[in-house]
Amino acid sequence: MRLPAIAAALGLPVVLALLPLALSNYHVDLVTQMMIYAIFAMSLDILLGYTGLPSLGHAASFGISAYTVGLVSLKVTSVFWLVLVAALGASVALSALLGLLAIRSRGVYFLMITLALAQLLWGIAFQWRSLAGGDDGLPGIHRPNLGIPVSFADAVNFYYLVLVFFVLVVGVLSVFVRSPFGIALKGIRESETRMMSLGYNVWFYKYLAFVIAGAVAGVAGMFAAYHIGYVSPADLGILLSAKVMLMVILGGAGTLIGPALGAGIIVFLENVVSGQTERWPFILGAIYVSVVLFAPQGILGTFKSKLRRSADR
Amino acid sequence: MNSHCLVVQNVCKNFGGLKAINDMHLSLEPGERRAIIGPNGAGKTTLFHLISGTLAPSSGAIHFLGREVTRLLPYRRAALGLTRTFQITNLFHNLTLLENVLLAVQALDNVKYSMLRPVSSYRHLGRRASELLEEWGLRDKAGIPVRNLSYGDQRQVELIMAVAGNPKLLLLDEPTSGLSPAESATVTEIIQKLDSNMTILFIEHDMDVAFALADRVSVLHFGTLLTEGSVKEIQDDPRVGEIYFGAEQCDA
Repeated sequence: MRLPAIAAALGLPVVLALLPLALSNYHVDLVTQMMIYAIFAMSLDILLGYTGLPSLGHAASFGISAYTVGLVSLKVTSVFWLVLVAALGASVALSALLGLLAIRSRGVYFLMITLALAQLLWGIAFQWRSLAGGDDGLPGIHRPNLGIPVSFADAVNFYYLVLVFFVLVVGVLSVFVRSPFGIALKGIRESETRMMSLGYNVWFYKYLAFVIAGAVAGVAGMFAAYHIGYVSPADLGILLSAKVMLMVILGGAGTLIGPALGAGIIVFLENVVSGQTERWPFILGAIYVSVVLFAPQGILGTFKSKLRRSADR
Repeated sequence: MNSHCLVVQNVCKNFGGLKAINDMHLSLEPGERRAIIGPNGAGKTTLFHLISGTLAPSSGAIHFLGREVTRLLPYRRAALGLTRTFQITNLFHNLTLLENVLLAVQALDNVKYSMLRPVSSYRHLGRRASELLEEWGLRDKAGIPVRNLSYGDQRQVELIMAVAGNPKLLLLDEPTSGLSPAESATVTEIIQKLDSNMTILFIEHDMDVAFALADRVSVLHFGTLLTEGSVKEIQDDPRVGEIYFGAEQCDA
């Protein structure tokens, strides 16, 4: 690792840990939301940026976890670790199932099939009033109970809980993308035929990547449900899938940290803009078009290639 | 049959009504260098796809090192020691040269499934990759994305990737295609220097290269094996000239 990367690896958690000292509760809440969506965006980057699988149904893994949190904590137990196992278990099981159906396709077909499968789940959540609350969703989810004398209803305490998971996910994923498995995913993105002729079981790699990305999205979905205390079909829907894809593209697909940055920007803008106007999706669209036109590699991707060019000079 | 490296028996491949490969026979001794020649559309590349496993034959059987591999997937054949290069350069263009070679080096090592340690911490992989780059004189370019290498270098990387795992059988699909005469001579020399125990089957359009490298030559025409023999026999066979240039010109 280069020196700036090491500095960032040590500095970022410290800065984030000190942040609540300087911020109001409203802003602590906002940064909490940014970290949750950063986890979600990084999970999609594993598929989109590293493996080259453009999923437009990534909200499925996020939403199933959020719904599991709602159902388990409202009807079974409020013990955090049990909810966590159930929620992540649901995400992994769902991705393992959807992966079987989706991984056989690639490119735009993969995009369409993931979209269709996620919308199917959206439809089920929307219709199934007795279990999932239909379009009302599941309100009244309480903040997690870790069995310690700390209340996570408090914005700052909840912030630190999310921060621990955020740092954990960033740490694990940054090793993951540099591991033999991770560079094999990049190889698959570049050329599947070459990977096969070298001796890689391409299907298996893509399938595992899909399940891992689903599990990480599940972490995000779980905290999102705890954060706002409410789950609705929108947590499974195409608008969320498109939004997280935009976060990845805006920040820079295939850079891991870029999508986290993209998530921060989108969450921030959404909070600011939706206070001013109801036309938030319009702004979102405008951002998407400008990124595609002016910085197709995303913020971090463009920044990196600028650095490289000036280093070459 | 067990003494052969590769045996292709009665293999046919039909695409709809088109018989791309018809009743093909081929057997390669271990360590043999065999050229496949034939005009465009003779079925050379299709035959390669069948041997490497990208396509499954419509009928017939393929044995590799005494084991039937007719319907085995390409990655399984690679694990047995059968690798190939591509006629159209097929590399990981946005990855560095070192990453390209690392992917080839770790391909037949179980650490390729490892997820929780950076690849740089596996010293034996890095060492083997550096050795290969050193051997091929590309060490200085290790950090450059492959897309920025010259075409000649890229063709060499095609070869490095294929030999990285010390295959028993190497399939080369036009290793010198698109190269200048000087580069072509370099690549020919490199192939000649490869481990003599490695069996090599290659497609080549440049007759000088084909005859320089091959022990024996198989001539394909319209999906069938026209003839097969030593370099001398093929050079003296009037039918070979006919299929390339047409009968009239040969008479003249």
